[in-house]
Amino acid sequence: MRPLRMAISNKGRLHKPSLELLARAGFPIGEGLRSYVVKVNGLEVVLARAADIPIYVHFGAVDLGITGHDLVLEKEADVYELLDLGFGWCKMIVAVPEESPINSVYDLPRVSRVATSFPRIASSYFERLGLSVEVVEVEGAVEIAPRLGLADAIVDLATTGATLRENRLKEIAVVLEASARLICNKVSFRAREREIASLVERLRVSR
Amino acid sequence: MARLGVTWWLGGLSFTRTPRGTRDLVPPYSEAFRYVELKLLETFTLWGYREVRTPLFEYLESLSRGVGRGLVQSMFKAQDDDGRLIAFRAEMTAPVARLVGSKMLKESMPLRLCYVSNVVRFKERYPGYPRELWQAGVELIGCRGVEADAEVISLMLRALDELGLRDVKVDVGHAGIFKRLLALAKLADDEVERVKGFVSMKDSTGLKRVLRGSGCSEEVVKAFEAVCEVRGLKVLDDVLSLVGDEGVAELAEEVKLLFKLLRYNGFQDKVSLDLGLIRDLDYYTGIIFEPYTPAFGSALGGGGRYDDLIASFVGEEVPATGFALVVDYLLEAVGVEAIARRLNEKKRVIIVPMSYESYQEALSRARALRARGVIAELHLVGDLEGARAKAERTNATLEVVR
Repeated sequence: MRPLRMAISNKGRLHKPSLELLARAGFPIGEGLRSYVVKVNGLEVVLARAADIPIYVHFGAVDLGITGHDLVLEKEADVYELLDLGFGWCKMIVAVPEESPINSVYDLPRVSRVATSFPRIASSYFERLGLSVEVVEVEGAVEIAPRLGLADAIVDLATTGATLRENRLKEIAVVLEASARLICNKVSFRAREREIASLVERLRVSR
Repeated sequence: MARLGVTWWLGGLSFTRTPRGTRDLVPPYSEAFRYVELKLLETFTLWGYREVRTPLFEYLESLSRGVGRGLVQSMFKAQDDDGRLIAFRAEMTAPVARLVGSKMLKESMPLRLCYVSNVVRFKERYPGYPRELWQAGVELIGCRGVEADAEVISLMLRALDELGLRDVKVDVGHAGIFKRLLALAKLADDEVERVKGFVSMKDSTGLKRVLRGSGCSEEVVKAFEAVCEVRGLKVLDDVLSLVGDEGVAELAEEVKLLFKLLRYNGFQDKVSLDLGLIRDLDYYTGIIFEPYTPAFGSALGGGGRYDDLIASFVGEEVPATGFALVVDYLLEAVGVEAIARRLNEKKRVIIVPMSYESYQEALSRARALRARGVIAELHLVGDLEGARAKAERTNATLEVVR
């Protein structure tokens, strides 16, 4: 049988802490790797985009993955979240221009437009509040959308609030808080129960 | 512009495509598909199950009994000429329950029924998933005892084994125990949905947050944590020592008996208990289960006990249990090539009559071959070259009739 496969983030804020966690658990991988797949102590580590990891795990292309809880929700991946890894904490917020009179989501225009790279989370958030909002999906630089008149508000991640201030935006609501999770394919979890349990234990104590 | 998609740019014609999530099947795929269906029906038949067929579309109110809001929302719907809403079936248990409740209650129980049917959804479960699937399943009706659950689980394992899937594992849960624990937690409706979500993701962090937030006792929180994290029969005692509820205790005995009966069938290494197993249909009342194989990334199907569903059609209580396997998934797990190889073992002959004078002779040779169970295909008159090429490509023997 092939070795267990785990996907971790190849760049961004989850990359370094994921590598460090794996190293502490006995799977040291050198930094600055160019290849996508690295074998270390019987574990195949796949470097992938954090946003793609829930999909890899959902379809069983990899058995396990380290990615943000927010991304698991956004991709609606049907996977197990076995460990809260504690790092990569962030919150997803609704923000509007600083000078705007809007101070809560209920102040948003009756029909408003929101730019985000998390369309599913944003839609269900506003739906739950009973607000009719048109969600526009953008891949990046979400913060400039209100200035350009593309949207009245944005839904985006904010760790420190620095990016918001730079773009003269203010937070009006928190959509969710999320951290990095160890996720697992539901079939692998059963088919390779023992191997996965022992790996999870190693990661749990190395957190 | 967006509505056009990119079809026009790629030079494709929209009317030659089929809608999202549907597909055409061509040989050898279609033949392998039929092979899986027939193999399953053969096994079901040997266990005494008899095939039923129900309409492709029915009144929405019949199809939506007990299946839960999510599935009702994802059904294709239309209005009938009398104004009533009809829907296309999205699963097979509700149609069979309606059929049994309305027409078959006079039959001697237990009643064993099976089917192979296509089911469709307006909204797929996950982007890129099919919207039309074929389900092969059984329903065992009129038996309250746990031996019925053991029978359908055993039959499912047997049927998968017959297809050549040797490394199947089955997870068993209990909808009744889960509902009882939810009742003990006294949650609001939206909290129930959140708890189900967290349990199905095995996210005990989120789970504990919701339960503590709604003021559950620490015992109930710990019991849910066990449901989430502990696999195997041990979880029953863990949960009982925490909540000590009579209802749970009774159902736990049922689960223990089920595992004992499955051991009699030699399936002890194939089944494991996971009380955190949640199926996305509402009608389940008791033991539920899902089969998995490492060769496929999600469950191959699933099933369970639904003692109240038939009653919702006729008022008379009729206990029942059953399962459905997704033929499309099974085909992927077994591999089309593996099945095609099995099918190609049948001998195949291409007969080419070289002129219309020899046509009669060619016909009689074909007839003789077919009578012996050999596939005989008549080629175009005089086209020796084409016949040769085709014979080579399809691994057939060539017979030239001059």
